[in-house]
Amino acid sequence: MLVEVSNLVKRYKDVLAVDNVNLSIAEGEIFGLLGPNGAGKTTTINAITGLSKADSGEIKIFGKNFKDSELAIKRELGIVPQDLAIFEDLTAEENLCYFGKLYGLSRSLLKERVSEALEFTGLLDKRKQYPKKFSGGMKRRLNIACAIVHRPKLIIMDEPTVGIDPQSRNHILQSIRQLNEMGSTIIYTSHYMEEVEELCSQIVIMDHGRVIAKGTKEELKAMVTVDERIVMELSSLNFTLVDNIKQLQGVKDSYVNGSELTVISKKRSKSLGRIIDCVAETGSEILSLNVEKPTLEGVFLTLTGRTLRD
Amino acid sequence: MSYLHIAYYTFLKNIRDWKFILLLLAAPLLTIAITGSATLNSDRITNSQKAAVAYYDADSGQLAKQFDSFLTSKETQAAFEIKAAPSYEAGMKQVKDGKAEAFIYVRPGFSESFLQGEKTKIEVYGAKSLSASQLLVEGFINNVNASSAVRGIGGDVELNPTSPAIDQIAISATGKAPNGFDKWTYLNMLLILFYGAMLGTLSVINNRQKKTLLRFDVSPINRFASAGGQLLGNSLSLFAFTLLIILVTRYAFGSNWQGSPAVILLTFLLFSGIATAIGMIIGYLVKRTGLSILLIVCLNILLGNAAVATSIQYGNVFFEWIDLISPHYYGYLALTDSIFNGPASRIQSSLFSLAIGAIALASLTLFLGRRKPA
Ligand SMILES: Nc1ncnc2c1ncn2[C@@H]1O[C@H](COP(=O)(O)OP(=O)(O)O)[C@@H](O)[C@H]1O
Ligand SMILES: [Mg+2]
Repeated sequence: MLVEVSNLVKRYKDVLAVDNVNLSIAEGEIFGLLGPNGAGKTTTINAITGLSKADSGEIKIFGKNFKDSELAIKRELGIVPQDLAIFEDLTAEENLCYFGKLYGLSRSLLKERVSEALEFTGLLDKRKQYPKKFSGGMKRRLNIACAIVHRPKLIIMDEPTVGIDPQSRNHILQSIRQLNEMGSTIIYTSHYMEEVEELCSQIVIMDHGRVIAKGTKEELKAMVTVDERIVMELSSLNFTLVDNIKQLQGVKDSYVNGSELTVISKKRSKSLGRIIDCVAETGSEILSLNVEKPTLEGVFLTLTGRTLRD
Repeated sequence: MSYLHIAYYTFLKNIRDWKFILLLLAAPLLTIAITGSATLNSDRITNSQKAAVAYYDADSGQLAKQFDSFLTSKETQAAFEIKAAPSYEAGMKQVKDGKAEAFIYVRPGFSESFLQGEKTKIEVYGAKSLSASQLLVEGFINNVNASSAVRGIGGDVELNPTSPAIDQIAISATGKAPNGFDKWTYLNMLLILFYGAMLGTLSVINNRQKKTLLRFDVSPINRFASAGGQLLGNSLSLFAFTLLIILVTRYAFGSNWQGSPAVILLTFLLFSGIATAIGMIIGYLVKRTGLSILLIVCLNILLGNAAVATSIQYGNVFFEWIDLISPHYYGYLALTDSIFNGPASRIQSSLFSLAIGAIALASLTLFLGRRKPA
């Protein structure tokens, strides 16, 4: 395991920010830490990177602990902080040189890596510009670039996409995948379940400082029995059809909502085919059909009774 | 070396902050421009404002003759109404009666003892109440020196009251005599440079507030490198501003920087380091910009004015105590002693005090700015 966190506890006065968290992150993963604001993600990250001291628990990175091998660990670590941490009065390129040099790269290697990181984050043509003139998305990308100049083995990203346009977001998600393919292990925290679902091979869901679920996204979804919702728009609707569908095997409920027919069916009951046959028998035409699958949002909802964005 | 690297970028950021440069540059230039033109204008005083100065030369040596011819030269006559007195007593009487604002007296044997390298003096007597005339007389002596008629005469101006109404201004042969404006200008420059402490404060507070500190905390650098690099970078920025001010005042206003370059540069370097360290320490402890700046202003007023009070001989026990810890005071002594040939021992001890202060404050800065162990 690249990172092993055992029984981590961190308390801020009367807030138990992290409550006995255990994580193990294997090399080569994109590891997702999902949870609503205040779940304790940043606090966990800060303990891993040595930014704050845990009250108790043990953290091993690359098999070493911070006390004995602080500098060795730090050399292989890249951190994208939740808050932008860039100098507005230095150009994009100077920011990268400044922070990159702290990792002891030689002048020529630094130059090469800085261009690489700029290229990678799509900022190469903006390298001589000051970040104060950047859009939110560009600043976020620079924030990421600053953390990867030294090609770290482990990259920790704390909500790297908050408050940006979809285009920048896609660019960032793409680069994260690419970084991973190039050999970096990535810890990715977010409160956007779509991102984590799309990106991460292993996911931990946190709430109120505790891990409430962990596994691959398939495993997580399997943990909860959430009904499937099938929504159809039909050319004609009648009550016999609604009643007939209700009688079908695996269907729990069926009702009309305007021109739409909604069917609630048990998960994996394979009832869709039977429902379509039933509609076809009445001679009605299906104009549109949508099956809403269980999502991580649904998983969170089932586990906590709240939505992620509450 | 991450120290040098951090120092370099700190410096780069500072010199890009043109608003701050302007503020730091404009303030001293403005004061120097004002006081400079005031001294210049003293040469162009109209007849009605001319200060009446009596003199009596009891020496007949060569140096005294040069001095005489200087006194009667056109330039001097343009600024002062020089009246030869028939005797020492007559000259003193003119001052007492208010007919002359000052009386210049050259003792017998003045030239000889000067040539033999002995301590000599030109004595100037003036009524204390007429401080403007005192300034003029001091400036006049300075002009005498500048004209090199009697190079090497002058030095620290000491007031030795001989009677309640009359002050004797003794000018020892250790150096040139500065006038009041001259000395005040150097102190004033230190007072304004001290505001460069804000560079240190802002660098520390912004680094924390803008979260960039975090990047230093997670990188594999020495735990003192962030504070040390910033201290170095900000001190050198302030020092660079100082050099700029020296150059501008030297060439645009003809200010006198003719002391030992090593002493002048070392003084400003140490003073820059001290101001920056104080600024950073305040930043680390206070953490808020407004309050920090207020503290710097208060400190500057306290430390600076103690030096001002002492420099204008406003004796006061409180200020004398403050002077002991005032970088302005030591800086002022080192600068003016170097420029006006003051005692070498005092230059040394002033520089030593500045160095001790710089080391102590730098250590405290590093301690407060160190990365705390995780
Ligand atoms: N420096 C701090 N002082 C006091 N409380 C804090 C501090 N940092 C975080 N907390 C609290 O700890 C909890 C977890 O916060 P955080 O780790 O930032 O959550 P997340 O990153 O998941 O949004 C929150 O309740 C937050 O208010
Ligand atoms: Mg957070």
